[in-house]
Amino acid sequence: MKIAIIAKSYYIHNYLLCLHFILRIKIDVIYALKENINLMDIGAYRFRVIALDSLEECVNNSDLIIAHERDILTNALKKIILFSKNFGKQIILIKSNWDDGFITNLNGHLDSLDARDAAIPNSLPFAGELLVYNTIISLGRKVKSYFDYGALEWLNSSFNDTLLNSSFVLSQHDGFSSYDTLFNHININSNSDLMQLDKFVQYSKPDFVIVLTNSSELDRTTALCEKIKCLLSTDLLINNCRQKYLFFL
Amino acid sequence: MVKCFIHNDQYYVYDSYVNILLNVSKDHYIEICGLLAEEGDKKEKAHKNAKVLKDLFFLKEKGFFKSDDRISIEHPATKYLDDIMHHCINDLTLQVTKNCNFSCRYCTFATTNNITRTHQNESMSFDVAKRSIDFLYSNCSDSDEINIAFYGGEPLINYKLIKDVVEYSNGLFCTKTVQYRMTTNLSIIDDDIIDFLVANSFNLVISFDGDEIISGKHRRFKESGRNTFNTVISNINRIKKNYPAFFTERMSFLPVVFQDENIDNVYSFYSSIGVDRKRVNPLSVDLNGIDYCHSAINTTLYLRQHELFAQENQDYLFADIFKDRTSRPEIWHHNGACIPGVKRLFISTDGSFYSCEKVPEFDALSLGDVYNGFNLDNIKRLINIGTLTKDECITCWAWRYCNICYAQCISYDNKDITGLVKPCKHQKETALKYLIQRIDAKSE
Repeated sequence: MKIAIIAKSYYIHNYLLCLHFILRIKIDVIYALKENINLMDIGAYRFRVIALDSLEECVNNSDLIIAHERDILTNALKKIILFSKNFGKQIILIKSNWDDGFITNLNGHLDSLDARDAAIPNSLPFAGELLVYNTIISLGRKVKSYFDYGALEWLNSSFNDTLLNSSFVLSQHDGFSSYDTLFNHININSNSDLMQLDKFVQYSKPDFVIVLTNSSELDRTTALCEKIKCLLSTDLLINNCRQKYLFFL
Repeated sequence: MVKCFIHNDQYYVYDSYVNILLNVSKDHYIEICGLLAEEGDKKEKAHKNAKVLKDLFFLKEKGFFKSDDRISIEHPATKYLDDIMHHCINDLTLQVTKNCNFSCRYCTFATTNNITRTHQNESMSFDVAKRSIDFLYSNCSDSDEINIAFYGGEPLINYKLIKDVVEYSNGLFCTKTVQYRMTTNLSIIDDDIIDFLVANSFNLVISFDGDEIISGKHRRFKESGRNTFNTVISNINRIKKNYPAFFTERMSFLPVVFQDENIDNVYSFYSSIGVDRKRVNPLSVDLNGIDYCHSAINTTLYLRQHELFAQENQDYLFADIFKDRTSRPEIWHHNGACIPGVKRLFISTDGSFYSCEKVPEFDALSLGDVYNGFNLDNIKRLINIGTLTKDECITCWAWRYCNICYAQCISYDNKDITGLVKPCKHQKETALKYLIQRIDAKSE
C-alpha cells in the first residue's frame, strides 16, 4: 500500500519509525511533502520514502492519506479532502497529536510503583518509545508496559479495525504477567513538567534513561539531561542517532 | 569567579560558581579580597583574622570560591549544527536592494565611504531570490512557521521582486504558515501596494522620526532634498483610514532619536497620530550615524543604560539566571551567539549568507551563499567566539549573564571577528548593575 503522510516533520518521522507495527498492512512507499521532510533523510528509514512538491501529487500517488488536521492550514486541509474525494482515495484525519496528553496520571504511576507488581502504563505512544519497546520485545524480553486508555483511544480513534495491528496494541495491555523489563515514560513539555521529573525519577530509579527529543529543543534537552545526571548520579552517554532526532541514552 | 563590591556602605560578595550573593561584614570582605589577590598577583596580603578565616573555610566547604578550570569552551550547538542548519531554517531576510530614495543625515549607508555598506544602485535579481526561497524550502522541514523579511536600502524600490517572491513562496509552501515583514520608509506606496501588503498580512516596521520639524532636520529625499514628512504621514493616514485593523495590528514604528532630543516628544507625536507606545521602538543616534539595524546593538546598549528600552525584559531574564543553582557544564559557551538561520538568515543582494543584517558584509563573516549552501566550518568558527578569549571567559565572574554576540566582536581593520574588542566591560557593568538592583529591591 502507498501511504501519504501530511503532518509536521516530527510526526512523519514518528510514523516512519513505527507504522510497520502499528498497522497490519504491507507498506510499499510513503509519500510526504518536501517542505516536511529533508531529502537528506529519506534514505534513513525502513520504508521507501518519496518527497513530493504538492498536496495534489501526494494524494494522487497514494492509496491512503494520513493527515494531521492540527498541523495543516485550513485551506490546505480543504484541498486534501477535495483531492481525496476527487481521486477516490481513503483518508484518515488525525484530530489530535501524539503528544497531546502530558504526564497522564503521574500519581497513578507512583502508586503502581509502590505496589511493585503493577505495571506502569505508558501515557503516550511516542514512536521512539514504541521503537525501543519493539526492539526489546524482539530480543525476547518480557516487557511490562502498555498504553493507557488515552493512548489506546488515540490509536483506535485514529485507525480503523481493518488497519490497526490489534495484536500488537492489545499485547501491551497485560498489566499482571511477570516481566523483566519495566518500561516507563514521562513527557516533558514545559518547565513545570521538568519540575515533576525529580519526583518521577526518584520513585522509579531507572537503570537507563532515554531522552527523545527534537533537535529544535536543544536548550531544554540540555537542561533536562543535566537534571537527570544530577538526579541519578550517573554518567549520561549521548548517542546522536542519525542526527535528525537526538536520542540521549 | 568572585566579584566583591560595596554598595550603600554594605559589603557584598557574589560567587558565580554557586550563583549566590552574600552580604558580608567588612572583615570578611577584606579577607576575601585579600585571598583573591593572593591567588592572583600576590601583591596584596589581607589581614588574617582567625574567626573570619574559619567562616571562609566553612563557605569553601559549601562550594564557594571554586575555580572552573576544567571547563572547555564550545557552543552547545556545535556538534548538532549540521542537523540544525539543514532542518530548522525558518527566517530569511532578503536584501532586495541597496538603493534608497532618502538621504537621511545620520544614515551610515548614505555615505560613500562606509566600510560596511553603502547605498548603491544594486538590487537582488529574481534568480537569487528564488534560490534563497528554494534554499529555505529545502532546509525548513522541522520549522512550523516560515518568516520572510524584505530589507534595503528602501525595499519598496524593488517592489516587483517583493511581489514575485511572495507569489512564489505562497505557491511553494503547502502546509506551513508564511509570515512576511518589511522595514520601509513608507514613501513609495500606492493603493495597489497597500492592497498587496494587507492581503499578505505583512508586518511593517516604519522608519519615521516624528513631527515635521524633526523629519525636516534629518530625513530628506535624496534627489530633491525635500522634507519627507508630508509624503510619509499622508501614506500612514491613508492606511489608517482604509485598513484600520492592519494599521493597529501590523504596523510598528522605528524613530531615530538624537541623544539631545526629548524622547517623550517623540512618544507624544506618535500618540497624536494614534500609535501607542508599545508600537514605537526608538533608536538612538550619535556621531557615528545609524543604519537602523547595524548599530542597533550599540543603540540597545545605550538605551538600556538610560533605562529607556528593554529594561523589563532584561530584568526578567536576569532574574531567571540569578535563581539558577546549576553549576557550569564542562563544555560551555557564553550566551549570545544565536544559530544562523534559526534565529535569522540574512541574504545580501548577491546571494551571500550572513547571520543577520547587523553583521557587515565581509567575506570572513559570510556563512555561505545561495549557490553553494552553508559554509559550516565558518559558522562553527563564528558561533564559537568564546574560544578566542577562553582564559578570560573561564575566570569571568559574569559568565552567567554574558550575551555577547559575534557581531559585537568585529575588527573593522581585519574585517573579521576578534576577541580583543569584545565588550566584556559593558557586560560586567550590566551584571553588576543587576546585582545592585536586587539588593535595592530587597531593602525596599
